[in-house]
Amino acid sequence: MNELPDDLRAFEASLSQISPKSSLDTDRLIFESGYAAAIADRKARQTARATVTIVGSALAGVAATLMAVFALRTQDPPMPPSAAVANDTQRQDASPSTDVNSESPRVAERRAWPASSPRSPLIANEFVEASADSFGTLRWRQRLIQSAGDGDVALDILPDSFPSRPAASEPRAALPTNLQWQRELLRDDSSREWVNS
Amino acid sequence: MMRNPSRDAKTLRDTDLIRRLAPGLVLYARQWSRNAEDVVQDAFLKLFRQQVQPDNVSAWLYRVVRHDAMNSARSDSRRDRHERLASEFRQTWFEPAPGQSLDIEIVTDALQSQPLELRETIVARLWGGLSFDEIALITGASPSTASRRYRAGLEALREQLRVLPEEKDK
Repeated sequence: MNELPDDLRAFEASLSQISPKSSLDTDRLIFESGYAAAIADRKARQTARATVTIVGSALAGVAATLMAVFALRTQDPPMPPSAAVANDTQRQDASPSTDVNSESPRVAERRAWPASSPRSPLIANEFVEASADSFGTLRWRQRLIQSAGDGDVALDILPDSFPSRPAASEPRAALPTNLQWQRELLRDDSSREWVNS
Repeated sequence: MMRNPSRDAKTLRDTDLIRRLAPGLVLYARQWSRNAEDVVQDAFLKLFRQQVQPDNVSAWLYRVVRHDAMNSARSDSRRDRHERLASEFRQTWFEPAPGQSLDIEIVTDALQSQPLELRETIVARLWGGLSFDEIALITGASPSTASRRYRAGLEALREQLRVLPEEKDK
């Protein structure tokens, strides 16, 4: 930028002394500018609020999508029906004895008794005494005593006295009740030779 | 009602801006348009509606005024070309003041007789207070070109103002 010579600089200074004419209504313009600034301010605030809402909705949508994707990825992959059936069977075999048809070790022991019972032979006496209030059991006990002769010798029943029960062909749904036990014991069966002998 | 100090400060700034820049902007708009006041008012309102203020407010306003004044001149020429020619800018562009060495009518005539690119550079520099860089930004010329135009315009004006009074006397 070349500098102006002195004479031109003096002319420039004299020109700058005169002020441009303007019929602009500055007061009205100041008022309108304040109004325009207020409108712009409000618009900016509304825009910011709308932006926050939109961004929040977008983030929520992204989070929901991510959660859905995560849930889908953590699930087992889809398998053909045959594989699904095989898998289900394996699971049933490996599952604990919550099934109706399966039996707990205690139930299996009772069912196998007396053939494989490691308990004392006096368990039969215990059973008889425990169910002493049962009329059928008393009757059976009386017959047992009568047929055995004197004393309590007849009560000393050994496990070998009882025939081994055949294994159940199919699992039972529930434990035998006392009544079922009594019926079994009092059944007038030819296999109960030991009672009369 | 609660007063907002920041808004009050902004209003004061805006008021000062209007009072400081409006006359130069009106003169600048007159280089193209007869509706210079309307153009300048619209430019200020555009500025205050901006959510983000421009870095260089003066240069921004001069640029907007230039653009709008050119558009206004185009619509004026389409609307009433003959009427415009009949009343071609006979008004003075400057305020009369006591003790002024220059005749404002002569200065107005001398300025009007200059080419447009010289006129707008002189007005923007002398009455708008813009730098040559800012003028270059507005007009699309280089700063050195703006400086050259300014100097050429001043020399032409000085020449014309020396001659015009003599012609007037004749």
